[in-house]
Amino acid sequence: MMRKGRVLLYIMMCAMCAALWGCGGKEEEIPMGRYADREVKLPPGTFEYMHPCPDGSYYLYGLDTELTYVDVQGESKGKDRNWENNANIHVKYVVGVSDEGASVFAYTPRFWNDEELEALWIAGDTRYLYYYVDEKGQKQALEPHGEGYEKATNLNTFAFSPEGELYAASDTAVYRVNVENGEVESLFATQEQVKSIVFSGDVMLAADAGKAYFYDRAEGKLLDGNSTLDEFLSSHSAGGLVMAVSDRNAHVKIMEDNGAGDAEKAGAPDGEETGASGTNAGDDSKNAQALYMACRTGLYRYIWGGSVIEQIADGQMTALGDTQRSPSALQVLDNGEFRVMFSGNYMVEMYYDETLPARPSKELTVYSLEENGWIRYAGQLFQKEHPDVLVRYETGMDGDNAVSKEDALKNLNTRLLAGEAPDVIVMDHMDIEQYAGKGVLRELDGILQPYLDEGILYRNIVEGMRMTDKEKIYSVPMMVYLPLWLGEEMYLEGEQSLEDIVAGMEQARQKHPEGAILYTPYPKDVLLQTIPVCLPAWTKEDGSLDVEKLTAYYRAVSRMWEIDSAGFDAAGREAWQKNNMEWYAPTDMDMADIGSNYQYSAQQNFGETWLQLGFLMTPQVGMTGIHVSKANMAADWQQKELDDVVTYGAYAGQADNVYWARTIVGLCEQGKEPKLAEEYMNLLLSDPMMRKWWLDKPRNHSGLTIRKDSLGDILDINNIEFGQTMGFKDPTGVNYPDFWPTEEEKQWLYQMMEDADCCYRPGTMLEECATEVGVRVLEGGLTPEEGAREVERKMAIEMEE
Amino acid sequence: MGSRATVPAWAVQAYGKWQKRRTAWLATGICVAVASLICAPLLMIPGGSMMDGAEMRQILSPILGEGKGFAVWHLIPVYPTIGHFYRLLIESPAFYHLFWNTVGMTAAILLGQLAVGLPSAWAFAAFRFRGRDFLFGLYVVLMLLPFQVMLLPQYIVLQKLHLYNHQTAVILPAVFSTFPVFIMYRGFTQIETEVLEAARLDGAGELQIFFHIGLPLGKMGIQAAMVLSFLEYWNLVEQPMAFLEEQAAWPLSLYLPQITISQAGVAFAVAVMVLIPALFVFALGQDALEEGIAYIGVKA
Amino acid sequence: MFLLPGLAGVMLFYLLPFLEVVRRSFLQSGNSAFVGIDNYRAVWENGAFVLAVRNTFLYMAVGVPLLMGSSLLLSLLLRNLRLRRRLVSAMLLPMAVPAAVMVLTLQILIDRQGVINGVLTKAAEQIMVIPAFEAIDYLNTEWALVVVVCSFLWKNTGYMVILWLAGLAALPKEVEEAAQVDGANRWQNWHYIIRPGLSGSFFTIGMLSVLQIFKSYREVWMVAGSYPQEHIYFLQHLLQNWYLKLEFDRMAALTVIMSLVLLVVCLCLQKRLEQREENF
Repeated sequence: MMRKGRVLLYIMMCAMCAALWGCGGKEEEIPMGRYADREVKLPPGTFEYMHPCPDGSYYLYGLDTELTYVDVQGESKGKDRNWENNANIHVKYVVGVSDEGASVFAYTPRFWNDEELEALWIAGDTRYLYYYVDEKGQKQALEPHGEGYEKATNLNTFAFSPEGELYAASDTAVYRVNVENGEVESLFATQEQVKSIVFSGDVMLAADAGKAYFYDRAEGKLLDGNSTLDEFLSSHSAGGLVMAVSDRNAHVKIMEDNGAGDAEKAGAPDGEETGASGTNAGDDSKNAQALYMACRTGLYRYIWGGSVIEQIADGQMTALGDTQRSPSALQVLDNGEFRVMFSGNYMVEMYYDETLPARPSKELTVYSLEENGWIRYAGQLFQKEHPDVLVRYETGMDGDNAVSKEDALKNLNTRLLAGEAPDVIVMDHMDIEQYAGKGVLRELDGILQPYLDEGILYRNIVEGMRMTDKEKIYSVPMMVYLPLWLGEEMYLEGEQSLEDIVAGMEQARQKHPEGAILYTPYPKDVLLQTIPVCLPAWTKEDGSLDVEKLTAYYRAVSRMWEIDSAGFDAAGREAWQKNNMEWYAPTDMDMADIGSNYQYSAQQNFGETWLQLGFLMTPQVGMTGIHVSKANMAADWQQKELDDVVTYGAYAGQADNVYWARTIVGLCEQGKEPKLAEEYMNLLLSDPMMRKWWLDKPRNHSGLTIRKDSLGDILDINNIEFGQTMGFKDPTGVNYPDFWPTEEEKQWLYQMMEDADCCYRPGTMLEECATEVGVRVLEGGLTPEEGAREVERKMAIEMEE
Repeated sequence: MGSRATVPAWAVQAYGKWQKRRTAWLATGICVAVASLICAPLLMIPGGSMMDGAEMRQILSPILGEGKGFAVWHLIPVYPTIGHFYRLLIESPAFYHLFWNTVGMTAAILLGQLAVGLPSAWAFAAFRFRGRDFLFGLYVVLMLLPFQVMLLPQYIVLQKLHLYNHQTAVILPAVFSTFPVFIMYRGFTQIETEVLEAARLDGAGELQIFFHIGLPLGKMGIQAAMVLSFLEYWNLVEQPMAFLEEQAAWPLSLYLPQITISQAGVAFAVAVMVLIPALFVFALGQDALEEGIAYIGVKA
Repeated sequence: MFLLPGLAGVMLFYLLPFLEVVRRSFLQSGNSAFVGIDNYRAVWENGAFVLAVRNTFLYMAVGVPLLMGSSLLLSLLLRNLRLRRRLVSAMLLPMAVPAAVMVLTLQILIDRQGVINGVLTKAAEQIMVIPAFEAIDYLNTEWALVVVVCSFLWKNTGYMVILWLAGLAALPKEVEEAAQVDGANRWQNWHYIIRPGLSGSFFTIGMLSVLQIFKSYREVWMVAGSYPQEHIYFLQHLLQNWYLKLEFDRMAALTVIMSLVLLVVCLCLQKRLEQREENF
């Protein structure tokens, strides 16, 4: 019994392993050919949308931009069909264009002529007004009215049928609009806002984020839905989805089959996956009458009546995968190519390239804990330069789910320990010393040397990353933040230490006994603003915690909080916090950018703000933002008949010349593609990468580039067209060029960059611990001494481990 | 003595009955009290799931480190809203997907555990073979090993089997978990070895013995194992988090956002949606299981 | 033959991984050099290890008997009741609550400014007997262990009741009835009939209580973080923190030590159990 059992056991185990092994891992040859994309150079202007014409020409338009026609040859044909710029029009929202160039747009007026409307507007009814411009340029106001249409409804999506009929959608229904007299006929109700409308013969297909509606225009009735499409829409609509049909006129077929299918299925119970009620399976779908859909995950084709939606281009390998953009229109061309328009003045043509392998043969894996737009962007650029490489960008934590930072790190460590390291790791919020110490990271001295020798990068910043125990550099930040204060010259001037700031606040409090001084409703904010400039000083040479320094720190911040809180009572602070909760909640990961977040301080309606502590997070917006903030604060004070001068400067805490490292990149020792990883690093450090990102996305908070020439370029007003970099004119009417930094200010910034040599890396155990205990200290639960001891106790356990 | 004799027999009987009933009532009372004590904190959940965000923030503000005083809780919200359920059930189709993932995975695991664990438990209980004690001890130890440690080597195994990032990566190890074996084994040990031997002598096949003698007797153990396994896998967090990269394959337990007060309402709503099926399982599943076992025992 | 399919799977998904852990406990993580028992020494001499072992042991010493006792008592009361199934289901409910929500609930209750302190303060004010009640910061003082044990009991009582009931159901009813006819009182009934009959269940439930102690870690961690108050720093905290620091070698060594201890305990208990059964 025993012997037999054991033999049987072995046999079974072997069989099982063999069976499971067989399931995967067969090497196969990669077939050739896949879709690639090329950027289309657009005529001057900032375009958001495109209207495809059946002959391959198209119209471009955007918010506050004139309609531009581009013919089949790609020649932009002037502006003979303009929208007249009207002082009365504030921002145009939605536009529909017909093949012939007639257009309709919605806008919110800057000034109301209609008292009734104005009353509604004040009451919070943000309704649009509409204009219709015919193909000859004749403009007339369009006042939608009719049965089933309420005056307060906003029409957000417009589409002209091939015959020139206008259809529109609100968030609850789809309508037909008579452009001559504005009569509106409600056609059918929808669950959500219809985002996309396409025509196929007599059938109109309207899609919202979870359902496709087929409407027979000739018969005037809603047809059966299509569960295949519905399912696809609900899982692919995030980030935008656009549709187009291959042939708009030949599609009477859908409707016919639909009708037939309707009749046949009348008695059947709602069969789920038989779905495909668009057509029945028998139809000759070979004449490729198809619906195409483009979204982040790729370009898809759906042959009418089928139950599959096939992917014909992978989003990861084309511009579609760019999470920073969303597609706004799709055009199907006769030669099998596609045009995709993205919001944000960007258009690509997707073409089939037979010389490219269908799947890239090599893979470069890039890992970061959190989504990092800059890194994603670099991946796309890298892929373009290396068509045989797929850059797989993985993030440990994304979206709203139960995965905590620890869980994500555990998963990463599992992979590292199992020998499946990614090639590149973005080390933000990770313990670099730990990973370097365990031999995970590759030393970068060799790669960085040429950059340092030629003085391309700020040497001090790179050197700040040198690990103390191993004397080598294992990671390099691509961007940094610099500490900055903004306040009244009377109390503070130039570079400040923590004590100076406390003293300045003390003075300010004497002069203004009422109101807040800092612009921080929460105790945690004070910690977030001061820990970065102090944390590097808390660790002694031997790696242990300097309790005295920490105690001194807690004393200083408690004092700051005390002074600040003396200006108003607890109820006042509570009210202030409640007020802020809706639109600003402090997070550990990010802080208010002192420059670009000027609205934050401007919108405080409780107390006055005399001093802001924060970080300079963006080059141009940040620097101009300082001016804007200054102006705002000054204006605020002028109103209150205070005539002090607003100024700004760097501040230091217990550590001097601190920089906050962002997008810290390291390469893995065990990576499978060390050569490619090196090239990737070189791309990250290149001027185009550092600069282009900023010019494309001036408002994101990635940081100040560590490449000297790029930083200079970004701050050179001659180098960039300002209107374009900002994306839009600021609605509050701030004129940015007026606030552009002066030469002197730029030199000041460069000098700060040259001096910064003390690295602050967020996310260490010590910081988490000190913040958590710090809140209790500020709230009065612990004295500074107790707080420091508590941190010491916790860190002692950590050291022991 | 005499006085005792005067008490009629029916009275003695009645007194005994009354006493029995009294103890029963007392026991019921205590148990009800304990059960309601255990359930009391759960009463916060339905309230929370219908509480408007502003109200929740207001009553919990002391915990958020704003303001003094103490947090309170409204069992019945002042401004009830179904917004969270709306957001969950109508606005996020992902919820259904993940919900059915959970149902599917839990069902697969439970069935698998029955199919695999039951015979194993029977083997440990009904046969005496060399190394049995050691093997059983090993099973217990393997059951007790913390997942944190098994994570890496299990990952390597799953990777080698090309199962990583597939729901089977969670299901298969769970199916072979030694935990249900351990529980069901206990149920089977009550069977006397003599009975088995007698059956064997009578020429009963091992399968027959298993179905006719084993199953009916191990009923309670099987039931307990299934209920406890259900609870365990219904809210499984760590394994799917480690072995499933693809969010589409995730169970509902990972859908719960990180705890922030702004998300608390939705979290409570999810909890309600998670609890309801559990209640059904408690109410119906146990009976069904019992009948099922009885049925198999009769048929086989 | 009944065992084989199960055993094959256990080998593949548990034993094989466990052997890998054993192997790695002799290697240095990172470069996989053979280091002999260095890892074991590193664990043994570690201050955090001593703290964690002490705390875990204390937690078990308090938690396991309390849980087993209370649930046994409950199941004895419950076993002949008509409402039995409903009540057990109710007691099981906390197990079905997702960990994230359970933690949230706990936080609302036990925060320094949480509901429990609020109620206690109010009560103290109302009754006026207790002088001013000082709000307790449960998670950051010695109370932390009490909180952990209470939530452990709260969550797991139903679980163990189910197991006890399964054990009780297997007792031959006739014996008990016969004893009752013979006039055995409740205590005798327990001492001579129920207790010996449950000795197997004692072992099972004891082991499962230990298992549940290990499993309660995630909630503790979610409430109190990676470095909680010293009294609730358990072995799992140590394991997790080592994992985050890529110290798998030490983790492996610690696991091997733990499983050896568990194996010995388990085998001893089983031996004793069998002897006792034979004696009985």
